[in-house]
Amino acid sequence: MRGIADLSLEQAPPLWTPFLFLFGAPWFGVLAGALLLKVGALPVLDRWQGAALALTHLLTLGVLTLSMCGASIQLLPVLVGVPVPRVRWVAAWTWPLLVAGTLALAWGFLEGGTPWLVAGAAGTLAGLAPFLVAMGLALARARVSHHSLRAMALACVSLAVTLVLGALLVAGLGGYRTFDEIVLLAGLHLSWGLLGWVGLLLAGVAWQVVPLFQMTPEYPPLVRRFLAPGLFLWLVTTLPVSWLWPGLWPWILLPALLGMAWMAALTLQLQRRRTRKTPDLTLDYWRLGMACLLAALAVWPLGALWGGPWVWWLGTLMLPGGVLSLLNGMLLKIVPFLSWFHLQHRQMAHLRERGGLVEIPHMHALLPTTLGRWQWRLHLLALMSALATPAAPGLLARVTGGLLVAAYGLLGLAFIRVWLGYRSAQGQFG
Amino acid sequence: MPSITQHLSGEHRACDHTFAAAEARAAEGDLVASRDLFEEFFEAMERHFRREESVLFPEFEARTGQTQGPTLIMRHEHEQMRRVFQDLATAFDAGDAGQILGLAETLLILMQQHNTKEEQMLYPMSDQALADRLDTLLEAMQRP
Repeated sequence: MRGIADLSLEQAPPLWTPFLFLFGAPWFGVLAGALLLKVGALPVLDRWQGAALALTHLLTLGVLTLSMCGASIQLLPVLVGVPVPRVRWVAAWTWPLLVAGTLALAWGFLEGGTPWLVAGAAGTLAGLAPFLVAMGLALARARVSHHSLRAMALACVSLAVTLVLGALLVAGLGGYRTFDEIVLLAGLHLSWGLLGWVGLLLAGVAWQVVPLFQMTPEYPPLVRRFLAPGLFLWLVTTLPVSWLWPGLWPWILLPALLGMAWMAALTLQLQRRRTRKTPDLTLDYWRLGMACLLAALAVWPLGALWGGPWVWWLGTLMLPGGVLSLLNGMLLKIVPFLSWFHLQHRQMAHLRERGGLVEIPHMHALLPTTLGRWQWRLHLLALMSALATPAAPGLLARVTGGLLVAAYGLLGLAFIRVWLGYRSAQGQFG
Repeated sequence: MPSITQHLSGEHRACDHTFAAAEARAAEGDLVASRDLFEEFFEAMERHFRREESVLFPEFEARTGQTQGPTLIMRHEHEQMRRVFQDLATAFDAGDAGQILGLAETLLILMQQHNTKEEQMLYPMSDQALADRLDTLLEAMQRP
């Protein structure tokens, strides 16, 4: 007969499934930093350089998508009451293909050329397709119907569109399309990835996570109801409109960007009214992320008009400044909490079956707050250095690379420390 | 007359406020004030758990026939939180501020994860399944 504890944990995926994704992600950040160290100013000077594209994909696919897959596997049972079906198979299939696909793609952009790009795109597509199907099935079976659920579903559709556009681009780079078309496709691919997949997923998660864990007032019902579908519909219209009237690109994105800016400003305002006043690293990361997203919107028209360093600033504010800050903040909570959660399950089973309380480490014992603070400082330094890079690209690009290696290396090592603490506590149960 | 969702979610928010104040005092180093507030929080949580375990869950189980479903999971999660309450009390006895703050943050995530499941799944399901008995139930749950 199944025990109570088994039933409770049944909803939570096996620990290794989210951890596989979450533990892998920081090392792609290390690789991105190492790449900047090696190539120096190249990605700063021209966004179409192979090194710039490799750098972007190491961060978006390697750090971001890998972590978001892991976090989704974990958060879905809590947020919608249904686990991702066949999660072991999905994790065992998606992870190696996504990792190998991202590495192949990055190498293809750097030196490998078309065969590596095709292999990378194929690996990424083949890896993420079953993940998206499993997520879709879980969302369709959800026991609840709320706005976060809809936002997450639309985020998954956006990821699928991003992947298809990416595959079309790889075909284009193989010599099948004109350069103008490639520029437009790349813009669409980037918009669907950042505004659709990342933006919608973060919005759906924020509506749940910010009021609950940071104890803020709720987001207004109108925002929760209309922002995600509105943003998604606008992205859908950009596809045919920008294809038919390329002159409208990229200005057609403005309403979607304003929607995201509104979301960021609202989050900052809600956080000012939070009940929980205890210093919190995740809150600091969220505030930095939201502030960077707002700054990115201010920079966006300048990037669209003048290109050059404005594009570098836009990318820096959007990706490492905005989205990756939010992600870092969440990972620093999710990884130690999950470890503790599984340990407590063992602790209670042990108490029930054999008697005698075995002590387990809490979140701060698994991942000390001082370690998290050092990671935050390195992340901030890397961000500041990246923003200053256009002033002295040759030197500062390499400094930024070194700081990225340090920040993500520390994050990766912090997770290894959590794992060792978890294993050592597990050992007490025999 | 409010719904079960409104009434019990309101209790969650009230407990959240006491928790936040207790944790803030601990972060400032005032462990005496923090302990008083945490004890107030433990009592409020225990009262809330009792209302669910002795009034809502049995009614829900009787009406839906689901005794091995969501209520079983919620009861187990209550036990998990009670375990952390005890750990926190021990940390206060030892006067260990670091241990208190670490356990408090761990409890916060556990508690809010649990509240999400109740507020978005179990309470709305109960409002639906027990629509004809809402008045009686809410009255029973408002008794001290």
